[in-house]
Amino acid sequence: MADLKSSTPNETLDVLGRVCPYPLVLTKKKLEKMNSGEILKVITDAPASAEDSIPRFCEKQGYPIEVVKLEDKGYWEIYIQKS
Amino acid sequence: MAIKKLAFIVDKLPYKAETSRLAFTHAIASQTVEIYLEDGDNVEPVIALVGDGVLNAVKDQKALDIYGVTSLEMHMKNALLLDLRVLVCKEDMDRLGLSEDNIVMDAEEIGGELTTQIVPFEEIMKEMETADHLLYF
Amino acid sequence: MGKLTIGCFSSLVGSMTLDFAVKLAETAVKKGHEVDLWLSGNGVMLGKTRQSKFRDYSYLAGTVQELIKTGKFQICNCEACAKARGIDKEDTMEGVLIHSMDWYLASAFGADRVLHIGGE
Repeated sequence: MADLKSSTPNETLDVLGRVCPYPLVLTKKKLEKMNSGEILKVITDAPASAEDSIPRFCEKQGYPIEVVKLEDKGYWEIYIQKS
Repeated sequence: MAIKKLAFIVDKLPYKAETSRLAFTHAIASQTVEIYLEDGDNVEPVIALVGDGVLNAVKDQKALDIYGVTSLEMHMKNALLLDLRVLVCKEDMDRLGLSEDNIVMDAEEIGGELTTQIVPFEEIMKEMETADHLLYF
Repeated sequence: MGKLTIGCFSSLVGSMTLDFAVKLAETAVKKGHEVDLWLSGNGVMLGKTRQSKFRDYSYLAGTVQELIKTGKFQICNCEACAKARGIDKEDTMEGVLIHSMDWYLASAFGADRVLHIGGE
């Protein structure tokens, strides 16, 4: 599997300060407009979105995903490749 | 494959409590409920503002500027952007002296295509009757 | 046997609405039904750990723990509403789930009956 976090994302979605349902809803909306193969970087500080609903969505869609928790910064960076 | 219709009926004032905001955000969450369901299953939401709840639709709200809180107007526009049907009761608008010019009718500026529907209460009753589940906020 | 989904948005103390919701859940579980209880808004207080038992106050935490043990009851806090109130994972009672709002809608999808006890 490609190391997504080392690749330059095609798009970045900053949803810091937004809580459910917006992180996943906005991620889904953004991905709909992207091309296959492109990488989306999502920045979120909502734990349930970062560790549960967004990964669950990607698994269902078959999109490779990497979730990186930045403890010192208090948020997650999520790399999703639309396939 | 099953689609269940959920009617979100809102009759609470904006900002008095968080109730009407939660109605919008829960309805918006319908866009991602598929992550928990079998392929092909989904929910179809409809939001109906009735009674004092029609005041949630008043436009030019300044909640963000003054209180730093996302306004009900913005939540409603997000709902329209995500193609959720939003109905506003005509009789209750008349009761409160509101016209189409006073309320959020679309979310064009953020790319939404759907518009708010001002309908007689009878139409809202029909939506409630045909819903699989009623969520009364 | 059927499935009942209850959505409760009412405060833990100062309102008997949550007491009613838990009582209803308890009754349904005793009859053999499955129950999902979704807590949002002020209702998330029910999911908080370290609740004290006083005679003059409802003590729902004990009932909730007993219901969880039956295996027929799921209780879930809305992550956003909980976090907004300073209730993180470590502040949440054991057995109480934490999910986003789509969990409730999915539960409603599969329920025979949904009782949405709106907010106060």
